[in-house]
Amino acid sequence: MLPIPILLRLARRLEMLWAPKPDPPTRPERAWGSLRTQLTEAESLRWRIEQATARRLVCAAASLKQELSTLLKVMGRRIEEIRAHCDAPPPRAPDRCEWIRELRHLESEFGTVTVRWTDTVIRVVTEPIELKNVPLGPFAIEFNWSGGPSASGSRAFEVKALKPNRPAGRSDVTHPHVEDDILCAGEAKEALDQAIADGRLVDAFQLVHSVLTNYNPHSAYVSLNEWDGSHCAQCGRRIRSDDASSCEGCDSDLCDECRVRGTLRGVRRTPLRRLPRTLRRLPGTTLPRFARHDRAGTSGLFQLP
Amino acid sequence: MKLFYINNDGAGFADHVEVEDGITVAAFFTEKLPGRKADDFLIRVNRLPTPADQVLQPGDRISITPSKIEGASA
Repeated sequence: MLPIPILLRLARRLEMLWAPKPDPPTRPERAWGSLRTQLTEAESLRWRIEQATARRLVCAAASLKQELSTLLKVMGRRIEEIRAHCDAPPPRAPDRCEWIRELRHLESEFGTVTVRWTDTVIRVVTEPIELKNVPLGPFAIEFNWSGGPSASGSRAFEVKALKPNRPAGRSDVTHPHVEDDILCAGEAKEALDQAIADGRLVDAFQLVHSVLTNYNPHSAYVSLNEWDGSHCAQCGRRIRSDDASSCEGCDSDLCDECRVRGTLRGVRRTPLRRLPRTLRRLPGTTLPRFARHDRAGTSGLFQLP
Repeated sequence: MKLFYINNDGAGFADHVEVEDGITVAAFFTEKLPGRKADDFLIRVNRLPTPADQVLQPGDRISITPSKIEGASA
């Protein structure tokens, strides 16, 4: 449990950050600005209508009246907008007692809560997470309070794998929905933003936890089916470790298809980037995307101009 | 009676709602999220886990948070 002095200090800090900023009734500025412009425009139109009527320009007067009518309708909507803003109840932020309850509730949901004052971070740790039989280990969920209520949910949180089981070839991914320690909240995004804006810390942490304990195969940084795989050196496709074969020439991983193709042709292929720099830049030659080499790994076919 | 209802499903909101006296947690859930399974949500009343047949009291704080949410990539 957080010691009481730390709990009080944190609650005080959060209360200050979440306290609503005084919002004068002159807001929203844009609506007022546009209303002023429209009023000037309307006065000009009225003057032109008077002039047209005095000169008996019937058609011109009718057209100007139509224009003025449309403009007045727009102004009416703008006035409604400003009135609604004036009538809206002032935003209510949690007071210190609510923050204390919130922090204690966070402890009851997640166990130990750690506070890192220098980083302005509140941290909890999840249980080890396993998705579709892929163990991903426990995660630390860190909330940075410095952004206050206006912080974007996904950016305010960092999700760090404590015993990372990263997919082959992606050191930046620790979970199908976490890249560079940032969670892509997907369906939870709006609710997460709202929870942070309202100062509902527990709800925000629970939403992050809910995303971590679920898997969306249609939008993952790396699909769990390919978690234990590697990339085929020939076609670049990700391959499971069990399905990978090794090239006899360069020890690169190959998928089944490329291995069979290579066996049939009696050659192995190596991606261009694996060739020595000198071979890539021979004057007067152009290289195909993949240069062929024989089983011994000696460079072979070039296309001469 | 009035309750403070926090719904973390969809866009998420928190507001006071009027409900009939003596309503249970299960009935409240069915009323607010028809067609959804309670097993897919974390339901807390006054910040505590609660049985489905618990009768809600005026001024209770009830929060409903989905436990199965699909994340995305970028």
